Amino acid sequence: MQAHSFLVDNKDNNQVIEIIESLYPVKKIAGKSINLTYYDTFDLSLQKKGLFFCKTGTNYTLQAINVENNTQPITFNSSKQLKFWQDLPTSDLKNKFKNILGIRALIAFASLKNDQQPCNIVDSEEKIIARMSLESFSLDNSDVFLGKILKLKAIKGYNKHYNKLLDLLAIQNQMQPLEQEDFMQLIIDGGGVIPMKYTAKPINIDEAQMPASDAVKKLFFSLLAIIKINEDGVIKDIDTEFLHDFRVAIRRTRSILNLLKVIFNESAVLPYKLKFASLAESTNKLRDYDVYLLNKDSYLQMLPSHLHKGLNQFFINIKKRKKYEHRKLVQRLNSSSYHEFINSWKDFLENSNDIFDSTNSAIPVVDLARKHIYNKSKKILKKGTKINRESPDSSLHDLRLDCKKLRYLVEFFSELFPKKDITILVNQLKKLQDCLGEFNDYSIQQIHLEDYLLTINASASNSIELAATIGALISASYQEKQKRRNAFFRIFKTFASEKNINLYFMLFSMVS
Amino acid sequence: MKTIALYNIKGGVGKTATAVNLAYLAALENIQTLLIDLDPQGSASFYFKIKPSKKFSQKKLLAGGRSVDKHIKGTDFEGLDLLPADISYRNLDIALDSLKRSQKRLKEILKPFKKEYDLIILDCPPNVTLLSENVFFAADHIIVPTIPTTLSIVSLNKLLRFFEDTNIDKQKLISFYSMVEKRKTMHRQILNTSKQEKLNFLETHIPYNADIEKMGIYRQPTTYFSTNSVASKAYNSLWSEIKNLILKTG
Repeated sequence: MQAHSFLVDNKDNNQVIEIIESLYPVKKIAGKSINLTYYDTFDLSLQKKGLFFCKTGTNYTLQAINVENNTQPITFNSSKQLKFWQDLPTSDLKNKFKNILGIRALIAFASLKNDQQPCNIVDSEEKIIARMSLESFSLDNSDVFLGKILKLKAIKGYNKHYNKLLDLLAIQNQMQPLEQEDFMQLIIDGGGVIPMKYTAKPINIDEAQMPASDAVKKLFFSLLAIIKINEDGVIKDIDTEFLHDFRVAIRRTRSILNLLKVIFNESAVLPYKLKFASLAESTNKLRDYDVYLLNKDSYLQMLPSHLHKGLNQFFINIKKRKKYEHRKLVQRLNSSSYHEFINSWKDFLENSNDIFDSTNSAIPVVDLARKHIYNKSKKILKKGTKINRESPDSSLHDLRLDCKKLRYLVEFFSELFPKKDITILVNQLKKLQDCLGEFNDYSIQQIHLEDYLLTINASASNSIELAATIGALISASYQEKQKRRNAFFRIFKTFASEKNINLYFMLFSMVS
Repeated sequence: MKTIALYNIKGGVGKTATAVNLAYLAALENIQTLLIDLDPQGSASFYFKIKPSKKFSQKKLLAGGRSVDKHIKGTDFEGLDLLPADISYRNLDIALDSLKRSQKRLKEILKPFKKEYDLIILDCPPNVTLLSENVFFAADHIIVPTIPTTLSIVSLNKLLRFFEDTNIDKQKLISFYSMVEKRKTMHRQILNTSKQEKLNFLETHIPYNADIEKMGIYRQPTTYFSTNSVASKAYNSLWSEIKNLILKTG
């Protein structure tokens, strides 16, 4: 059935009704007031897919922002708080949300109060010929008024009347028609806690001739912003991505300080290097526990079901330890020393004349990038070629760290080089990194599990079950680790192919 | 989609009142319903405050498709639409007679509405004509409100024989006692008679009740304006039985 919405500007309900009554009688019916809460992830993954997700009472609606697609809204009921995709009530919904949300949590970004005055528009026999609702929207907590909308809905067979109403409202009274996306924009603009367009990636350096010192400062500022914006999510433990993005931003900051040493005034930056290192270290365990918990299902799949009970005990312990680490981190992030550190870093960047070595940092950033990328890649090629089947695991860990450093350098400065070429290099590097990363994950897993085995209380009632479980997992981890070790050789061969090497040479060698 | 008809050769037995209340109760359960008023008297239409457009006539009905769809109107109740009757319907059987496949014409006209509606209810005029035969062929169930008197039972048996003679499935025919007044001896006697053989009677009977007549005043279904009355409870029970019947038969 036809329906139209209009923005009501500067008129109260009775004034609007008066306008309509110039054509047809209007009968008010029982009004109501409802609360609407809009949810999305911190990085707006639903909005990015053109969707909005709204709750009123226990009813949820998932709807397209742009109704041109003519997709029907999905509505369902749930009395449970929905935070992650696993909380959705049906498998269809779980799948749908899993694809959009991933590991991100839903956050309420706007809470509105909606006062509705529904009315029936009738003819001379008091037969309803159209339905209308006058709806006011305001922010829930602050009562800030967002807007008033007139919703008109046709009744089958009464199109002539409906068209007369449309003419009255749109043309004679010049009321502004409102599309769904406009309505969403009204809410987004109006307020509530809206996450800004969030990205975990630092700013792109794209001016090749910019002095290295300016470029690096820009990078530091954008990374600092990412660190700050994720603090709250880390403290509230909303989802694991906040800590992850927080750590990556710190890691990237440290990598600039370490990899591009030559441009800095070492004694001036040293205290910051140390503080960032300490901050990073304080998040390591917590991240490990997060990763364990994220992988819980894949662990369960690795084991026969009669060992699942033991595994669940393992995870209960992990959760306890996570809680402890999280509390420690929260204390640190809330402490005055942390705030002082962050503020002093900002101040240092903004005001200090002492940050850089004036000669080394004056070179164009593209030259700096090329030099470091070239050297780093040479190092990786050299180290990787030396690795053979007898090499210890530590050689692979070492290589992994070098690859990470190269990757950061390439990412910071990718815009300074031809896109096609950089994409090829990044893809190759990524494959190598993924293999070495997984190797590393399984090694650590194996070590942690072996350590855990030592802590099992032999006299406890479920100790044998638990030990069997952990033993099985250790074995599984070892197998997976070995698989990656074997795959490494094949993957490194591609990375070190002549074609690749030539590409690196062409892009980054200073001889050209 | 199912089609049911409210039919009786006698007038004033509660056909329209029943059709209106069943239609409302179905729509209430989210069953998309179309009530078709086939009686030129237009009582069902009156109850829903709906007048046919001036351009509507029996010709348009027989043309089917868009010609019909244009004239269907939404009632005041979500999920319930009505095709109002027109005075020209008094000539329907004559018009049908001149057409080929004159007995199955209505069934064909209703076919395209299967997609849009889960249930079609036909409110029939009190007579036996070619239109009635069309209804017998078009409907999955023919529901006959019957006042518990000897003559009504006689009439019902005649209808059954008509079905036999015309090769219409007798299983379609379902009756229920309507406008029952327990204080009347004859009504009590008929009600207490063991189940009339060969006739399908529903368990529920609808009492004679002022609330039902008040529909003419309020112009709304009884089950809407007096939900807890004796009459409404009876209609709810009737609808339950009929719904089970409709859902059972494939």
